[in-house]
Amino acid sequence: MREDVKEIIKLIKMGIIPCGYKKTKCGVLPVDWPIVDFGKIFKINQGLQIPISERFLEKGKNRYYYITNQFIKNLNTEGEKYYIEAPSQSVICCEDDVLMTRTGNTGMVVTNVNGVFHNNFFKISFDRSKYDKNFIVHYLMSSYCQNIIMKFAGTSTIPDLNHGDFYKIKFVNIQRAEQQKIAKILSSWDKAIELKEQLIEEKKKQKKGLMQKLLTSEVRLLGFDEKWEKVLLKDIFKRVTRKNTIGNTNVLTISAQKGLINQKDFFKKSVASSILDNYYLLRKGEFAYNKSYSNGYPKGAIKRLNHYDSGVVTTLYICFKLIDSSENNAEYFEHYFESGLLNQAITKIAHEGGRAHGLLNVSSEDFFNLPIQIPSYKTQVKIAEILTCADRERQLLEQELEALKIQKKGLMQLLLTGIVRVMC
Amino acid sequence: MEIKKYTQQEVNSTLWRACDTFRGKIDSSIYKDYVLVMLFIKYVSDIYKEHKEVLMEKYDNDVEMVQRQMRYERFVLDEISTFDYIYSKRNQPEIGEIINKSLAHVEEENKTKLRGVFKNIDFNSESVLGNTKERNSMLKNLLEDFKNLDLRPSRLIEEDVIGNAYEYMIANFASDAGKKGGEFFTPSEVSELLSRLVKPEENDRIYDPTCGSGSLLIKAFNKIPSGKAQIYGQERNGQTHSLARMNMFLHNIDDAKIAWGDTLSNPLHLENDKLMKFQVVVANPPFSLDKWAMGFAGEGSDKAFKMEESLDPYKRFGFGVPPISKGDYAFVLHMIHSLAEGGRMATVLPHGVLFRGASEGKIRQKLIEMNLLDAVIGLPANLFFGTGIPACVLVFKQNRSRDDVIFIDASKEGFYEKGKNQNKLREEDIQRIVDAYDNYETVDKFAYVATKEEIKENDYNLNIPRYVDTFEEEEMVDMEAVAENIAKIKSELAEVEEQMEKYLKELGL
Repeated sequence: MREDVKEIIKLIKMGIIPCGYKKTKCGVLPVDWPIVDFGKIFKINQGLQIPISERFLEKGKNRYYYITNQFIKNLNTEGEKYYIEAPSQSVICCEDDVLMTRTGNTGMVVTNVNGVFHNNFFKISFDRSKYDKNFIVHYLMSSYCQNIIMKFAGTSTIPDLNHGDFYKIKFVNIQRAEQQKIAKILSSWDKAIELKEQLIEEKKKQKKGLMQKLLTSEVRLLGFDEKWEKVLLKDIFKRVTRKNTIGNTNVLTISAQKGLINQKDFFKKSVASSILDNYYLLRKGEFAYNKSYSNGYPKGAIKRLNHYDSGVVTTLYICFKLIDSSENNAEYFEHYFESGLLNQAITKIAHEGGRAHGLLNVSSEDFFNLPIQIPSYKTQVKIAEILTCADRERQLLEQELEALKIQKKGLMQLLLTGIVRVMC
Repeated sequence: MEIKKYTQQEVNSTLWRACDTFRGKIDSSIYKDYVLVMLFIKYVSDIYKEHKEVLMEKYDNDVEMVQRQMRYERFVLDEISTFDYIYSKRNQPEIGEIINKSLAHVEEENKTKLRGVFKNIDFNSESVLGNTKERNSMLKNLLEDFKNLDLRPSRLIEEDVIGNAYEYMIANFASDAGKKGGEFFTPSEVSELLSRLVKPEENDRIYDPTCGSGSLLIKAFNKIPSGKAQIYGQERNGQTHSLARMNMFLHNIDDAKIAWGDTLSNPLHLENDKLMKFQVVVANPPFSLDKWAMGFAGEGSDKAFKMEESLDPYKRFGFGVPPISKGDYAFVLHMIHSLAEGGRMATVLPHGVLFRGASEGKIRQKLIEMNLLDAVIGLPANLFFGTGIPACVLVFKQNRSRDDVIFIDASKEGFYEKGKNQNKLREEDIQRIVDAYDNYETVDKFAYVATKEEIKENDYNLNIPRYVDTFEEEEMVDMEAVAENIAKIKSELAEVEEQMEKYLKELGL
């Protein structure tokens, strides 16, 4: 980072106005940046409220997609979409328009959509020869704008931004060329973020494919062509019913995303009973099976204790460990359980309980009698290595994505306030 | 021998168990009255019994002498109206009638205090309690539940156990029955907050125009150690009005004047045909009461009734007539017009009163222009039984010495205790609000003293976030650190990707 920029940031943090800057109602800005009220440059149109009975479920002639709060969230996904017939021109928006939510998720900015917009939105019109659409979108999402919108909209049950208050927000009235340049920079970060997200999705699919092929022996590694052996779970695992006699208080819960994790970190509070003597004591590397199903785990989740040396779990979980870890590889089975390849077999032994909905009735006896095909120890290690490598790749991509998002936030802070000026 | 004393908790839980007699058979909004009346009777009977024992000993079992002394008690009872008498008749087929007679007797003997208190309750009602067989077995159960509850003052650990038990029951029924018509029982911490904001003083007249069971009045009254204050309340619901009077009695506020009627169309505390004036007014009126003005419509009026300023003989709506569907400001205006010189008032209201437009906006503007509004306090959501809506407290004053307004935002996390169903204000939370109000100074992210000009600039919109800025300033991103991090991730990613590539090739995929 350039030294002069560092200096400017330092001064602003100390509450000093740097040379060439001025203090305004929306923060410290360059002296040559004029501020105007939104009211001077924007005109907003109210949306349209249509009762469900008058909406259509199919596309048709002179019908428009109905843009509502609830549909905007899953715009690209499946599910019912509503269409409105023959609306008036003032409530139609095209991809080039900018919408903002007024109530509900007040302050959300929506663009690149065609359709009729709901009353919870308003359309923001402006003079395109003076203002750049993308700049406006970024500006509306800046922390200054978002804060002031929430301030005006209030924090009652349903925040609501009225027209008059919207018009009072301040806009940095810079030249169109400068707007365009800033918008272009920020948009390339948006594009990078979007691509990275797509990449992660593809990597997830790839990993899934790898699991399906490697864990079922469909694809063999060169030089690993031994016959896979059919065994029962109990041939390689033994149940753990070790009681918590040592007063361990690290209460663990199975999270689909995070695996075996401390309850306090997960629920933000402990939901376990205060006496933990009856809990099972689990040691690092051991497995636990939570019989209730959750998203992505229709037959419950089996996780391995990785994050802590030991912990305690409810006796509702079935806990187990490898009989001999020199004959079988725990990491391999971690991948195996994660792949869902055991689901079909569990279905046969599981009965959904009548009372506790969501909890599968699986006896530990049935569980340990489940059949499973396993390769040799050497193959297990090799397969685990590949799948772990794929996991690592995805983790890194996710970290990079997070970092990119933070980087973009930082750029917005610098560019939309003129702390860093663009060259036009 | 040590006598076992009952704690608040023990009494409360016994009472709650007594409700099981009715639970599932009769709606709680109805059976609560039977349980509460029985509690009342049991309590006064136990006092009577204890006093009688003491006097018998003192006057050496001189029955006539004791009888004479008993006539001077705070509360007069005789044998046939005691709980023990009723209990002894519990197996009689006409037990309902016996209880009714006893109650009538109690009322007759204590006319000035209890006239009409039991008018709404019929222990012999077939329509409410079912046929004779059902009714009798239920009443017998109820009597047996109360039999073991020893409420003699010498057996109670604190002075006010019984008053608190009464409150406990009412509060529990409030959460049990849920909301009806926007009427919510005021949780005791909110009552406490209000009573500290208005600072009752000796010889004040304290008034609650929508007093419910009277808990706000009791809290305010208890702020005056000498007990020298006059209590006035009005309540529209007949049953609740009776409860309030019993509640006052149980809290030893004998001369409270609790009137029965609609405060808006029929205010009953008058002086020379004008509204009586009070030094302290507290209230938790029903939230956004619909058709609040129907009482002004008179007989046989048609549906198109329109409330007008001129219809109110007490001239309370000079600042504007609130919308017919939302009575919030009707109550506020009534309270404002009931304030004496130098009077203080605090009222719980829904947030809508802070920003709604039309006539409410105009009234709001007037209240500020007339320099009556003293404080706007935002409370956390989920404080009230049966509703999650966040409420606020408005404080008004006559003859203010300043012309700015303090806004306090106590709604944010950390300013209350999170509960399973209900949130709670802790003592420190209440005190934080009261301190901010007393100091009347801006406190970062909590309180803000706004000038009249600022309020005007906001079009008299009093929405709290406009004044109290609680938004966290976004930290500046350390661009260098992020760039470094990305570079590190990328180089490791390159290695992993290379490895992946190798594997795929190896697998021939």
